[in-house]
Amino acid sequence: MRNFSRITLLSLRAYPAWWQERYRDEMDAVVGGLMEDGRSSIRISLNLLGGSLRARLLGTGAPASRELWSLRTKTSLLVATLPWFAVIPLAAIFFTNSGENGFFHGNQIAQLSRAGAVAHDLATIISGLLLVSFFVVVFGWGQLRHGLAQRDQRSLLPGASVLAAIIGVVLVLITLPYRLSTATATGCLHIIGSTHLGNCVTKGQGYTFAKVIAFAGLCLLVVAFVLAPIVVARAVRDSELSDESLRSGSRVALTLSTLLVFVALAIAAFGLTASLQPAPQRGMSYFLEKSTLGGWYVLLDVAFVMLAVVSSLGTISARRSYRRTVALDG
Amino acid sequence: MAVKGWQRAQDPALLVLTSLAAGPMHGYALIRDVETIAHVTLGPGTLYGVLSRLEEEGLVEPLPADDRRRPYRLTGAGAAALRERLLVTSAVASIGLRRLGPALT
Repeated sequence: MRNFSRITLLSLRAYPAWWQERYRDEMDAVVGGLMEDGRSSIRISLNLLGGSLRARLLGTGAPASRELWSLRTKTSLLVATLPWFAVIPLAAIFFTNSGENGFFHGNQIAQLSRAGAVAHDLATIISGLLLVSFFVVVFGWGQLRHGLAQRDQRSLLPGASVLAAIIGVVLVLITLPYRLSTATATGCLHIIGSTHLGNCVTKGQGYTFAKVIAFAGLCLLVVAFVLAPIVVARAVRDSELSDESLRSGSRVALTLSTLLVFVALAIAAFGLTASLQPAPQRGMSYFLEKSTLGGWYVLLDVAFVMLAVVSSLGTISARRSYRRTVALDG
Repeated sequence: MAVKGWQRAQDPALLVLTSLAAGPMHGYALIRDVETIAHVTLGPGTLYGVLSRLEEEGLVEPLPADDRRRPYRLTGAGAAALRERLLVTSAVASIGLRRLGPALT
């Protein structure tokens, strides 16, 4: 092994195992030669990183082994679908920090500006897209479940995940009559120039107890949500999936990644349109569709975009790998 | 000769095939040769991405490794593909130069 910089070594190690086995010695020799010429190791490393991404994505030059290509398809399906599990908590952050903010001066009626109305519609579109994505995930899991022939019976994770989800949903549902969402100060209308808060909902009897139950239910849902991707990843990796399951999986991955791309675009558009709303004027009534995240909204948007990109790359790889797997069957 | 901008944007596969038309070469020699003939520096990631694709398509083939350096050579199919591509490129170049001729004078 030559004396390469740490970043160059990491870049070389980023290539898949089959690539390392076939080309690593040669690439070491070439990189060594370029280093001796005094070429920039950063530039070489970036080029290697790009090459490793292409090798992982396209699998060009990979041996014609069904086992390898089937594994590639399964891994790609996971890369394409698992970002959804990260998108949902981010979406929760988006929705809990976004909404209409009304400020009333006297009895004047206020409406959203045109940009605000577009932002409001975008928030509705985002929730619709996420709802559709939820059904796609449920459908995909339903399809995949039949193909998971070698599920690990000893593992407690799948059962624990499902149980946590069911109990969590039940606990949250039984607290709904207590109207937790409306019995908070956020339901009050702030009147400019006055300390009075209008339309406040008073807390019902047993509200605190219901809140504790709802919180416990939400915690269980979070546990289920954290366990779910681990369960899915293990089940898929450990199973010999049929071509039919792989085909169905790659279609689900395509649909899901497309939805995630639209969600990322809509999140960006929401931020843009919300910022285009006219600034509130003192003494006037107005409505604003806005996010309270401030500068953090950019980071949230970047996270959505990155997850959409990862999911899309996984889908490209999955579809290519699936076609190759089927071709090797023939 | 300094080459800038879009003039660098050439197909790495064509450059590698053209380079191998001179005879078998290993990775480092290919990079140097492509620099000489086209003023383009191929990174190792780009080079091996191209070589793996050309090998998969049967246009080049690896020879036994000498130490850790493995030479590659053009196959018959690779030579035919290169010839065809260069003829098309050459025809486009001739037409382009002919059309530029009157404008330059």
